[in-house]
Amino acid sequence: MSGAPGHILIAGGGVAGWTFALAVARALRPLGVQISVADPGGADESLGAHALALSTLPGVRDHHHALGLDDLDAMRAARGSFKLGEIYTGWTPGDAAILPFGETGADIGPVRFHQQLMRLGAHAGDLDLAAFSLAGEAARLGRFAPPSPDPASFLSTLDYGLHLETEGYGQYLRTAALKAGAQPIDGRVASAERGGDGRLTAAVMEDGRKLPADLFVDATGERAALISGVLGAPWESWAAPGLDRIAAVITEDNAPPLALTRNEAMSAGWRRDAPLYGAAAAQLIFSSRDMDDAAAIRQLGGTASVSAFNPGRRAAPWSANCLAIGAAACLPDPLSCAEQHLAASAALRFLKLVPHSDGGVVEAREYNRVFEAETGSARDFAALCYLTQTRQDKTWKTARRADPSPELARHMALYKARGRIPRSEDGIYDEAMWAAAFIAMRVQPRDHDPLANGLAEAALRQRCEQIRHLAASTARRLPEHAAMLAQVHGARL
Amino acid sequence: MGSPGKQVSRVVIVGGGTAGWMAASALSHGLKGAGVAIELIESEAIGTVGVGESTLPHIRYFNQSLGIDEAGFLKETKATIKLGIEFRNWARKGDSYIHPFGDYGHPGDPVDFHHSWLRLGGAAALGPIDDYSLPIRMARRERFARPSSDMDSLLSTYSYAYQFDAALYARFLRGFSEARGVTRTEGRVVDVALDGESGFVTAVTLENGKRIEGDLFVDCSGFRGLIIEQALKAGYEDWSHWLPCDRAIALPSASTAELPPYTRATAQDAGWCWRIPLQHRVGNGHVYASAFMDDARAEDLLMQALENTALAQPNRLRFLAGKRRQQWSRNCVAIGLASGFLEPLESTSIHLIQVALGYLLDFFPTGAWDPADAAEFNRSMSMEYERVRDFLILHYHATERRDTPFWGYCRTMDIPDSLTWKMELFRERGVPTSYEYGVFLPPSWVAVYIGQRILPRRFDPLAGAIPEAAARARFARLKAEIDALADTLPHHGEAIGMTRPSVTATA
Repeated sequence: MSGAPGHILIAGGGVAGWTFALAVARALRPLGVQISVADPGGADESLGAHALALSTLPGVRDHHHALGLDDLDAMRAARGSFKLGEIYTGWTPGDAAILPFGETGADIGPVRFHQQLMRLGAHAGDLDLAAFSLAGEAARLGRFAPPSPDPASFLSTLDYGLHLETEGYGQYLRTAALKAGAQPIDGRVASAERGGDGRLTAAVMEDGRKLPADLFVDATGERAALISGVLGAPWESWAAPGLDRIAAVITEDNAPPLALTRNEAMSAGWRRDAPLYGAAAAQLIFSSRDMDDAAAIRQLGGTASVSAFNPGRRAAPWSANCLAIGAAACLPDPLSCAEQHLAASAALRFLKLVPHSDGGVVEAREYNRVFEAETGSARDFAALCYLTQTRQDKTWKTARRADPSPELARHMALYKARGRIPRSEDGIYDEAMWAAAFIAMRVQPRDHDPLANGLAEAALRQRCEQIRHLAASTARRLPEHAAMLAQVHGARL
Repeated sequence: MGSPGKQVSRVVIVGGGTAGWMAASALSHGLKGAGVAIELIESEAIGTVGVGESTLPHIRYFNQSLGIDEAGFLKETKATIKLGIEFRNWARKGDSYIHPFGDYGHPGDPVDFHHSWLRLGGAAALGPIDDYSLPIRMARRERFARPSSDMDSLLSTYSYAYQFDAALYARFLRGFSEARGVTRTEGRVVDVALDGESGFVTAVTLENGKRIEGDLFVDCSGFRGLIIEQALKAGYEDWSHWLPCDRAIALPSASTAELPPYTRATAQDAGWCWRIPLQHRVGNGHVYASAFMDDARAEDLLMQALENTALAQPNRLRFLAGKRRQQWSRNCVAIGLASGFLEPLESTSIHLIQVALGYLLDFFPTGAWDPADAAEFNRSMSMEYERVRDFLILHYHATERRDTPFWGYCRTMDIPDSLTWKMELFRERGVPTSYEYGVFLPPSWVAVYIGQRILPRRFDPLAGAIPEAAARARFARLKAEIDALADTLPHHGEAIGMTRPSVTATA
């Protein structure tokens, strides 16, 4: 029986590379495994050139816990702010809807909360779920507090993710990984040599150095130097028809940040704003047929950079002894909020499937199986928005022409029938988040759950009103988001 | 209010028994206040099997969700506790292992226990993996205490189920259902009327001529599938090439001095015998493949396996492993044996009823009968059935037995691709595939793989993080701790408040 690979070489640093390095260093250094990271420095390419900031799901905090990290330290390193959900404006012309994190209302037995509201006559077209959610109300009022650990407290219903500047976050992860025993190597991996059995034997650096290792991790971002450049693993594109460019910029901004990521649909594309502490990150995803790069740059501000937008995933991110992570494996649409999630879950899943130095075949197959389900949910969560928006601009009519995946088609059929969400395995989003996304996109089911008819109408109405009142009155008493950020960062903006 | 679409207002359940009354209970509870009338048709002329029934821990959540008090339930159904299933003679004659409702080792071990056990040399060096499971030790010592919610305690490493008299459970649920407005109609269905255009079931007619109309029909008529198959021709997916057992003989016997909190499944020449101890008797049965064994020989083997006097005449059953292609077809949902048959080797019959009812309530039809609802139900149930199927096939296929043609067939037969992959992953690297839905969690797969002598070629390299000597010392401490703790727990009978007047045969 052989042991763990003696040397794991991570090609590329950045958030994906250093998250992975940290996770494996913590688990495998005690076994004497050597972990090196060939980090060219400079801009983080690991999650894609346009990912200047990360807007995460609440799961980021569990990931931090599993990796021995501290949320507040991460925020301090990365101009972080709290994120209580997402707001969509203009996806239905003239409309704005908040998708809040945490619990919204409360299920009654098997009857989900949105079904209760629909039973009371609520219509998806103007249903304001956020009014029944502490996170939603707090976001609207610019307030924030961490959730209570006491499940009996209404404060426990709040949940949050983070807005983080990618560069600062990567530095923070790098420091932690080095402390855990990962070794940095200066320089950029350009390619690799292969042995007769198809496995990689050594990474080749731009300056010609050769770095032998047993397992290679490709964190080179869209460049995909090893998984694509050497192994030729194909890319499956998810781009919505027509939306082919992305512009991104970070600007200094001392306005008190909103605790929401904002997604604003406009005639030739849509804009995503992730507020940071003292800065603002913006992305513009647009159609080159309806807007040129110069116009996009004008819209975001002078230093914005523009690149091709090609979301999608690698067919087999773990091939032979090479595991691709970050954008080399999957480039999710920003709407799916999945960049950080995928970076962390790749590392944590790998730890469950650490191969022996001469093995990896079954481990890779199992890893890739779960990767496919997980990334499939990210693809579908974003595609849902493109397919169900009701804008009449040319760009958006074109975007609607895409075919949903069979999995998303199933979600849509079931939701449209009676507002139900099917179970799906290894997905990133829970049932409540799917339902909130359908509602934010104003998709109206033909009927509601018949079980909701068993609830007495007057009592139900009163209960829902109580929840609405509780959310509003509790949110009003929370500290200001700006004050909480001042506490975290040690200074008021 | 809301969307005032046409609603399902009349549910007709055809067939009583465990499936029918579980359906009546779950639907009357779940649809409370929704203005849905529920009627159950059953015939006293159609007997029940009348043997014990062994369950999975999930049954407790079914009972709890209905608000059923455990003490009353245990008394009424003459139930005992079940901590797992003992498998005898499966991989080799003379083998015995327990598939526990729980985990091995300490809660919160950083690496799954079996990797650490394998790393130190497995059974040869450390003794059977069973020695490191508290629920297995409790089962062998006939002890029981309710699990603790303290996640640091060994007492949090297990769950439990029941062994009960299925006929008494049905009677118990009948009382529950009738108290919640379910009406029971005595009679035998002789005709099923279908709508000429839609093919939907409009009514069933009883022997006495009474016609009962409904919007939704729940077929709990048993294996023949009175509505789902005979009227709607849903079709049957035959899995008997993987699970060749097609007959059973069931027979209760008198209690013995023992009261094991576990079910036993002993492999025979062409099938296996069950032993399910209840408070008042022991349920026994022999499941066998008629292609490999005749009925007389099967009965002989069952009689030999009895540990005490038989209390009734043998009851003979025939079946075919598989499932209905569409368990929800038009306006009929099949539940229980009407939906398919998987032998009770891992006590999944009642569980499959329970999950079907969960899915039915999740996707309870609106009057629009949107095909998406039925499609999702069928998809979900197929997944549940297939996952149980694979788990059952594993027991037969992972054997070294060559002593009879039956075992030769099972050892060398083709198996589903889904199982081939699961076995390969475990054999190579000791990883049980995980899934979010479906009944058996990774510890169950590990128990059966190892019990069936599938030992991984390699373990998790992370298991090597602790120095070997320290790891060995931890194992010794753990085993001693488990042994000592088990002996401080109450005896099984005492734990369930059972007083047994006599343990000798009366017949």
